[in-house]
Amino acid sequence: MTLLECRGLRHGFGGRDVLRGVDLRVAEGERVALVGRSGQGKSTLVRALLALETVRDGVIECAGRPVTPGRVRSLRWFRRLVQYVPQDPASTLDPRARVRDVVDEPRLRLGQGDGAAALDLVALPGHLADARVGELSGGQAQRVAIARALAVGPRLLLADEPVSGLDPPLREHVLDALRRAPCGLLMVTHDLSAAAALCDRILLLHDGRIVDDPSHSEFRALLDAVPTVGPSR
Amino acid sequence: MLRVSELTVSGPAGPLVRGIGFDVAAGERVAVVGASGSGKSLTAKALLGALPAGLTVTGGIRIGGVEVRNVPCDRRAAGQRLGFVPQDTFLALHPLIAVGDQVALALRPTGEQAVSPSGAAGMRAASRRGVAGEQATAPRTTGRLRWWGAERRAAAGRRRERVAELLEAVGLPDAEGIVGRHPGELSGGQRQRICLAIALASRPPLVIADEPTTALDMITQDGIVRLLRERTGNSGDAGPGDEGGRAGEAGQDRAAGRGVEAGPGLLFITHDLAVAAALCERVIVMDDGVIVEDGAVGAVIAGGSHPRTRALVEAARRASKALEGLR
Repeated sequence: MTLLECRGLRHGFGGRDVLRGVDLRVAEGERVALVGRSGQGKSTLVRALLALETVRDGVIECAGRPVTPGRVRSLRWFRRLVQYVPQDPASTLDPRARVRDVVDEPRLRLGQGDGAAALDLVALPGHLADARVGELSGGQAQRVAIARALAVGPRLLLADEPVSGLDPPLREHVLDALRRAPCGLLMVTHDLSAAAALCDRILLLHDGRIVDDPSHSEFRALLDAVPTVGPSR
Repeated sequence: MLRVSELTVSGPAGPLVRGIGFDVAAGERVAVVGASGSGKSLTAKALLGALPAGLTVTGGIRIGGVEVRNVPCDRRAAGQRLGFVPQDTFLALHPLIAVGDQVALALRPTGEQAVSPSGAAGMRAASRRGVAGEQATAPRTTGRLRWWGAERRAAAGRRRERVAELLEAVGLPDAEGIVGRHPGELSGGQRQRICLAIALASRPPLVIADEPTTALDMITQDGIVRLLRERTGNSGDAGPGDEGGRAGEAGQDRAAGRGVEAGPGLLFITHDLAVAAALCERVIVMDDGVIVEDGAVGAVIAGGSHPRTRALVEAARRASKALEGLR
């Protein structure tokens, strides 16, 4: 069953359309990665799907209901279904706030969910629940951001570059946390190996449209550009 | 060329980098890898002479045989100044100054303009020569002003030429179309190329690149890695990760004896072992403020024994393996 869908989405800045007719469908519980070069509009698409942008044209639907930007109250039903994990938790979470309060805040606003269970899901050490966000490492802060999103009990997470800039061990902790999330995932990423390790489908955003074809030349170019380390001998 | 000995960087809570030592030969490309908080970036800042206030440095940092520990970057002689390529180009570049002017600014303090004195200092020098009668045909005041103006115009012309050369060297051949633009008008890859042009402007003996590709997409990252391979190192060759032995543009020029000078050395800070292997001949692994491994990239990947090294290698292998299904 389709949970989130957009059809014919067009949006841009100035006179230029960045999104030129995007059609995208994410089924219930499905994990989808969205890859592409910088500047192709991946983050713009995420903002549009979160009803943070008024798009020029097109339709966005969640669980069969239209999604349009509006008052906070009018979007509560949507926020209960779809939550957001930002790229840089250091700039989006209050560094002075305690982890427990950060995770509880959206749950209290939206009137559903379980903050403690969400902290368990992301495997954050228990003693850090009382730490302040500013005291955490990058990987710990990213797991708090995931727990904050999961605390509401959403059916889909939209994650924008959730592992960018993290060192390999931290990156794997965050990927594990996303893997344990009991909901669907739409993840924007540059990291093709993270997409391959975590997601059921990998889509390419190219020239303002979605490409669902692993043999597409742009996809091959992205893949060929990834440096690798060979297996042990 | 660079000798670091017993380097310790301490903060209020204690040492953060603890007595590390390593050498970098002229034109050598060395990667420094490690987890977040292992001391990689602090080491780089200590070498650059740009540590945040409140941190103290002990030990030795010798560049070209000259001790530069505790000498801030802007007080170092030209030969001891290191180039720097940052991770966050938005923070590194001034948003309101055209990028051509920012590259030109990097030329000024290095003696690049010193071949012909310009500005007020040049005029004063010309005036002194005239008054002292050192020149048989000392110009009168009007003549001196004309001479000074011509010198300034010539210096500005040389500066423009050098900026265009640098932009071409970093893969931005359309200098006219780039120099007047501001950082916000450029892509992440173009901004990173501008930062490399600034780093190369003073012809430093060593460029330190602190995670310069972390925020870039894979194709842009690949372009920056190729560029660093071409513009740094003695050989300008295709680098250790390029099995085809594809020589870079600068490497071909050097091989053909077309007068391209040897590139600076490179200290490449990253947590991505695969990128390090694609670019550098040698890798230093840091953990908790100390060096736990130092050797040829292939040897460290194949036989590194420290648990931190093994964790990084295994994580890189798992990431590579995940891609096999897509290839």
